[in-house]
Order: sequence, then C-alpha cells, then structure tokens
Amino acid sequence: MSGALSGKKKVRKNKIYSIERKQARWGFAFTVPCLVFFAIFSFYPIIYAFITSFTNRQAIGRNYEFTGLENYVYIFTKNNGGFPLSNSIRATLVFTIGTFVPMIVVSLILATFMMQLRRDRYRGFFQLMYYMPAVLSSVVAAAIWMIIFDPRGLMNQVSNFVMHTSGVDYNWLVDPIMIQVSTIIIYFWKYIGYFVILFITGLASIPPTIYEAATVDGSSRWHTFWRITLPLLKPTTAMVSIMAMLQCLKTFSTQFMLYQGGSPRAPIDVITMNIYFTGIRNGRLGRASAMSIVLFVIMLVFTYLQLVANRSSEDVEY
Amino acid sequence: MNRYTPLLILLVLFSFLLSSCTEEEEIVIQYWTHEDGKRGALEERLIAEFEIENPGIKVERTEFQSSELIYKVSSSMEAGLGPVLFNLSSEVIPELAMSGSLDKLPDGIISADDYIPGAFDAVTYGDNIYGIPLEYTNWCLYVNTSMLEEAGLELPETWEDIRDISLLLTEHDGGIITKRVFDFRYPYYLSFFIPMVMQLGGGLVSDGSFIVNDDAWIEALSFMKEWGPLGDNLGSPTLLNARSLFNDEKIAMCLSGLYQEERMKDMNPEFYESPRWKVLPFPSFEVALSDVSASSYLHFFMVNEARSEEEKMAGWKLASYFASHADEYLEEVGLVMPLKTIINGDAVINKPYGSVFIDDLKRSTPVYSGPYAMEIQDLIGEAVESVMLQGISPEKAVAQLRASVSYLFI
Amino acid sequence: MNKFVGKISFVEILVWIFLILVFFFTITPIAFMAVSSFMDARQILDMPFRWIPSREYFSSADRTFFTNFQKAILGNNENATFFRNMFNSFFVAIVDSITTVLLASLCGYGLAKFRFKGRNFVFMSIMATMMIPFEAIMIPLYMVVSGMKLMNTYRGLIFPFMVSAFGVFQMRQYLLTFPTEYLDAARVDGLSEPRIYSSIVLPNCKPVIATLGILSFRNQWDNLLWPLLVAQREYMKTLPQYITQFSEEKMTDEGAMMACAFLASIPMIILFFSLSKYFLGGAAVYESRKG
Repeated sequence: MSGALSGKKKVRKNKIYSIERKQARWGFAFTVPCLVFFAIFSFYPIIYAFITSFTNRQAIGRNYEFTGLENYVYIFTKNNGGFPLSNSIRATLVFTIGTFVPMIVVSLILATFMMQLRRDRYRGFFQLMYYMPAVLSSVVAAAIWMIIFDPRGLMNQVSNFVMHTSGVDYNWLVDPIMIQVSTIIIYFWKYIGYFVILFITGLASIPPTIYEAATVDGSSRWHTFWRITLPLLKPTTAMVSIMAMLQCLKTFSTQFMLYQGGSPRAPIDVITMNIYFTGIRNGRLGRASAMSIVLFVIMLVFTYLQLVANRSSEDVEY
Repeated sequence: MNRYTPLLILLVLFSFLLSSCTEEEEIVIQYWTHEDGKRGALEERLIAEFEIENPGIKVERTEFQSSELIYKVSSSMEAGLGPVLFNLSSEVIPELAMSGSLDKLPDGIISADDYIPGAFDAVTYGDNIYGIPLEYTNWCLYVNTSMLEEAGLELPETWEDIRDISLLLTEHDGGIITKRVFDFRYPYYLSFFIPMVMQLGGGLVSDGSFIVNDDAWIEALSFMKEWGPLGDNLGSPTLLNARSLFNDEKIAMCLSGLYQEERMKDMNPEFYESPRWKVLPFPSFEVALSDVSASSYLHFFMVNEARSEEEKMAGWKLASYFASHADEYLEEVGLVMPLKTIINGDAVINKPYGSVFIDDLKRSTPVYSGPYAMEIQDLIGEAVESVMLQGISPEKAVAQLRASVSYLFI
Repeated sequence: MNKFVGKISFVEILVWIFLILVFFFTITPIAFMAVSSFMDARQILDMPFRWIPSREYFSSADRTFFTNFQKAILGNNENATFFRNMFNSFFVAIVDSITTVLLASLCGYGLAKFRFKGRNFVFMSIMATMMIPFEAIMIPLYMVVSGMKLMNTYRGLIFPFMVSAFGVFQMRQYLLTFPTEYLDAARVDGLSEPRIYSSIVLPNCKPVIATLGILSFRNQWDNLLWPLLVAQREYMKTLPQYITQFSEEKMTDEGAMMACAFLASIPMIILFFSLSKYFLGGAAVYESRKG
C-alpha cells in the first residue's frame, strides 16, 4: 500500500521522479532474492572456476600457483593423458550434429503428419506416447538401453531380423562407430517427443486461412508444405534447432553411463565427460576449469545465435 | 492461497539459509569405506563395541561404491572437509601422501613388527608411515569343476589352456556370445594384465622408463585381441562381470580373491558346500619367461591430516581396533590382513583352498602404486580395449600407450 | 482406391504407418522395462526375447513372480532404504520446484516490468549461468555447500537448485507480454507492490508456473551428480543414486535392476498422465510465447 500513498505526500514537482525511483527500488527488490541464490550457487562457483583455469591447481594438495595461459595451451596442444580436448570436441560435434539434424527433421515430419490426423484425440494420443520417454530419468533410460544393446539383447535381435542376417553381433556398445550411434539413438529416443510438441505448437500457430488460400489455388500438399508451411516455420525451426544444439552440447549422463558399463571412452568422450574425468577423477582442477571455459565459449556463441534468431521473430525488449 | 504466502515462504527460506550452522560437542569420526559384502555388518558390530569402550567418541560409517570412494575422498579433501578415517587401495596413495593430505601414523598405535615384511611399503614415505593395512589380496582362478568334467576337459594351468577350453565350450549364436566360459577382470588392468605382460618378460616400469619390452606388451595385447569380439569372441569388457556370474554357476571360471568364498557362501550356499568348485593358481603363459602371479594389492586405513588432533587420534584408535580383530575379518569376510599371525597361521590354510592363495602370494608382485597409478590404469585399459574392440593393432596401441603415459609426467 | 474406402487416401495410410512405427520405437523400451522387471536375468537376455515372463523360470522355490521387486526394495546390502530414498527424491524435487517458481516469478517480474539501473546487466548475467555445464562448477559448489555444513542435509540437496536461470528467462518472457495497464490500474487503486505481485501477477502466470514447476520437478527427480557428492549417508540418498547402486560393477542381476527402474518410474508416469496437459503444454509454452 505504501508505494502509491506515500507518493502522494511528496512535493508535486518531484512526484513523477519519486514514483519512478520507488518503482526502480521495488524492481530491484524483487530480483534480490534470486540474485542472492545466484551469487552463492552460480556466480561464485563460475568465477572460482575461471580463476582456477589459470592455476595449476589439483584436487589433492593445498599449494598451487598461477600459471597464466599454460592450461589453455596444454589442452589445445597436448593429448591430456590419452584423452585430448580435440577428440572431445570432435565427439561432441559428432554427437550434436548426429543428434540434432535427425531430431529436427524427424520431429518436423512427425509434427506435420500429426497435423494431418483428423481427430485431436489421435494427435493427443501420439503426443503423449512420444513424450513418455522424456519423463523417465536418464539413469533409468541408460539402464534400459544398456540391456537392449547387450549382444544378446533386443537390439541385435531386431537388427538381425530387419537386415535378414542371423547371429550377427552389431557391437552396439563396443564398436567405436556403433557406440556413437547408440548414444545418438538413446538421446533421440528420449527427446523426440519434446521437439515434436515444439513443432506442433509452431504449426498450430499458422493461421488456417493461409492453407485454405493455398487449397483454393490448387497447390498439392507437397507444394503447400514446401512453399508455405516450411517458410512460415523458419523462426520456429531456427529456435528449436539451436535449443536442441545447446542441449546436445551439454550432454553427459548418457555417455557416462555407457562408459561405466564398459564401453570404450574415446569415441564418446564428450567435453563434459572429459571435464569430469580430468577434474573429478584425475583431480586436475586447473586443466578441467580451462576446458569448462572453452565449452562455455562454444555455448556462448550458440546462445548468441539463439538470441539473434529469437529477435528476428519477436522484439525482445532489453 | 493467502496473498502473502509466497513472501512468507521466501522469508522462511532465508532464515533457513542464514541459520545453517550446527554445533558439535563430542568427537565424531567420519569413517568412509567401500561396499564390501559382509564387512559392513562386522564393522558395525566392532564400532558398537568401540563406542562403548570409548565414551565421547561417535563413529559415522559411510559406504560408497568402490569406484566412487576414491574421488569422493579427494574431492571432499579439496573442499577442506574430508572424513577423519577412510580406506583406499595402494595405487591411489602416492598423490595423497605426497600432497601432505595424510596424517603420520603416531607411535605406539600398532607394532609394525607384527606385520609381514613389506606390508607398509606402499604407505611409507621417508621415515614416515601413513596407514594401517586393512586387506592384502591377490587373485586366483576359481573354477567350476563340474562344468569342465561334463565336457571331459582337464583343469587349466595356462592362459592357452583357458583359451582352448573357452574355444570348445563358449556358446555362440552366430557372432553373439550366449554363454562364456571365462573372462578377465576388467577394468583392473594393473592387477591382472600387468602380470600377464610380466610373464612374457615385459613390465610397466623399470629404472624410470615405462612400458618395458614392446614385444611382451604386443604379445599380451595380441592374446587379448584374439580373446575379444574381433578375434575368437570369447569375452568382452562390456559384458557382465565374471565373478558375479560364478556364484550362480553361469560361468565356468573367473579371477577373484579369497573373499569371493564368503560371497559364494552368502549368495549360493548350496554351491559353496558342494565339491563342484576349486581354486587354482593364477594362470601363466606356456612360454612364460618369469613366474608371476596376479599382482597383490593392499587397502589401508588412513587419517585425514586436516582434522583436529583429537579427531585424528580417535581415527587411528578405531583403525587399530579394527586391525586387532584380524581373525574376524578373515573368518567372516574372507579378508586377509598382512599380519604374521594371519599369513603364517592356520586360519587361512583352513579356509577352502586358502593355501593356494598363500602360495600364489609368494610369487606375486605388489601392484604398481607409483605416481599417476590410477591414470596409468585407465590408459592401459584404453589400450587393451582399443585392441579388443576397435581393431587397433597391438603395435600401434603400445606406441600410443607409451606416448600417453609419458605425457602424464610432463 | 474405390469409393468404399472413402476419403482415406494413400498419403494418410503412409502417415499412419510412420506414426505407428515411431510409436513402437518410443514405447518398446518402456514396455521392455515393465515386462523384464518380472523376469529372471537369464530370460531377459534370452534369444529370441519372449515378451511374456515364462513359468519355467519360477520353478525353483526361492523365486516368485515378485522376487525382483523384493530385491529392488531390499537393496543390494538389504538395508531397505528404498522408501526413504524415494521420499527424499520427492521432497527435494517438490521443494525445489516450489521455490524455483516463486523466486523465478519474482525475479522475472522485476526484470520484465520495472526499470532500474543495472537491469540488463542482471538479466544478462543470469542468462550467462545457463551456459555453464554443471560439471564445471561442481567442485566450487561443493565447497560452498560443505563450507555451510550442509553435507547430508536436505538443505544441501535443495539450495543449489532453488533458482533456475531458465525459469527466470521464461517468466520474464511471459511477463513481458502481460499488459502493464493492469498493474498501473492496481497501483492507482492503492495496492502495494508485493500485493500486486501476489494477487495479480502470480495468479495470471498459472500456465508458466505449471510448466516451470513440472520442469524443475523433473530435473531434480533426474539429478544424479549432485546427490552423489552431497548425500553420502544411505538415508539421505535419492532414487537415481539408489538405482546406480544396482548397476555398480554389474553385480546385480538385470531383473532386479529393471524392477528398481520400474518402481522409480511409476510416480513420474502417474504424474505425467494426470498432469499431461501441463507436461505437453510445458514444452509448448516456451514456443508459443514467440507467437
């Protein structure tokens, strides 16, 4: 109550100014609780990590010194005990591109297909079923898939059936190429529903009158899709793919669980996993922090792209 | 919902945040250890007795998975809040000891003369000792004799025998293994793979150089390559570990320590009591140049240097209390403490095939516990797996391994 | 096509086939988990896989239809902390989702509807935290929490996830389109700012709140790494930790592991079906904001 009332008591000349001041104070006050938590649990650790990246700090041992850019030089030029950052960047990019391209294409196709269904009920059913894997925790997902990918598991049986072979072991968890395919399948399975829904929302926001006009013009469905739907979906597609990319860049648990199950590490040694092993397992905190900063920069670039894509479709107010 | 409820909740939360310091009066020993079958029950009982004998000391025992314990201890120490007492195996000790994170064993806690020679080597730096041994383990070959007899096969002595038996008895459906006969103990390569290399005349370290004798390494890696899915397809690091299958009679052979017997007794008493199993010495190669069995490793109780004097003293007291019950550790859990009375005593020999383990210990070498032991183990694992799973040639894998190991020391 | 088929076209059949194929792809693993949680380890890896738990594996006296579930609940070392761990997961996830919603809406409101010095800076720095992978700040965060003596406490599990940058972002984006006239009218009526927040802004954010609440609930339900560091006592562990105990060194049989995974998934699946509107809307809200 105080805001408006006390404002009235002020000298008229200062009124507008003071209301603004008051408002500003309230605005700041609203953000303070959040900022306190961010300060303690995000900003401080991030700054700490940044500073650590310039030291030779190790997990055990109290003494460390500033070594300047040494860690950065090391991670880009040395092989980091068999697991170089260059391999991690490769693994991350392979995974990211290998996941998000099929994911975007398939979810776009699924979404357009689902829009063709005659009843909302059917669409609702498929949405629900496609989304279900996203509900399971990643630990559960990895546990299930590790059994499915076992040499005697379901995946080999299905592949043998589909490929008309018998008793061939496709080495899902073993072969350096197949293990990457496996991580992509797991991720794809888990998040396809999520992206389908994003596209359906995008499609639903296209006014039906546009389609009607197209039908009157006599364009085929195919034509309509390429000439009308796709261009109208461009902002959605741009945003969804960048979101998907960001998510893929941060992937950790799928790869980690498979590695713990005995799979070779190098093919799926994504950046986050390398950070984890370098920092937590091997205790090279300085080096691991430098890697996190590199990942941070990569993600920053993608986020900048996201903001640009966003701005093109909506006026973001800053 | 009342209009002010959200604000109220926020207020409560902040008071929570501010009032999050707690007081402690008595000495509390946080004791971190790894999951280890029935050792938990035994130690809980010993702790209860210890707490009665030492009023004012409370023990909080926490179990971790063995792979987790190592980095839990190191990361909590980094944060300045490690446990008072913990146990770790010999290969992770150098980094802890050299960084000054470990407390020196005070005089008069235990008598080192009670232990066999060399028992403290892995925790001795300069004139100081940093730990009390918890277990002294080596692996031998557990064999399900009835499975081999059914097929009319003789008991194996060499790796080649094991391969021949596996070639005969491993069941496949096309390229897919449906039943294995034996498999190695991945990923503990320092314990089983290095001895294999040594049998062929190679070694991990000698006079400061690493990966000694390329030929031996290449031969050992070639054996693994033949074993894996790209060779005869007899086993793989991604499959279920052999020693847990052994208890259920789902595999004919596995590598394990004496403690396996207690786990068998626990999980499959009928099998344990039956004459259907046997323990044989750690196999060797037919062409072995040196007679080496599986590397022996030790687990040590250690105390965190960063804690207060009282806490550290209480921690050592508890560790020595555990050590004074070595008989029970052997009897109930199958753990061998390297005490003279245990190693030379009858209790071990009276365990089924206890003498096989003791004899094998005599021809074993201690597991590598020098600098970067953990990372070196990971790298050996990567080499073995790249050969077994990715079709890298053994020659290339050895070269890569040497390069990677030497990078560690830069 | 004859007239009897009516309007069902070739394209439509293709559409259905494709949709159903993907349906099998997403559902089969879940069905596999459900079915194999009743099975003996041998049967789970039987070739060919049979979808019905077979009788022959229950012949021995010590194995019943529910043996796996018994094992799952009793745990590896029979300390039976399953229900306690499940409660922990629920408690942490619920508290975190409530606070995330409250703090994020408050902050998002402040950022969207007020002008103050440093606002852009605050917003951008909050956004920047989204770019940092959790693994990178795990150790400093761990030091903060252990420094506050919060190891093995609910507070230690809850605090670091009480705010979410994504939540703030979502709330802000949503509130940007909220008509400012409403707020001004309320101010003219003499309502205080906190009152405006709690009686006008909050009730009007229901869709985002539901979305954000569910999202943060799910994230915490899924969280493995942080509890691994903070919760070391058996009774403070959460469900994902409980499940990993089963896969550790591959000691347990797959049956018990699947049973455990199944039990852990049931609450989420129930929640999903009863609140599916918000789950599905959840994904959509973010998208629909941009119209």
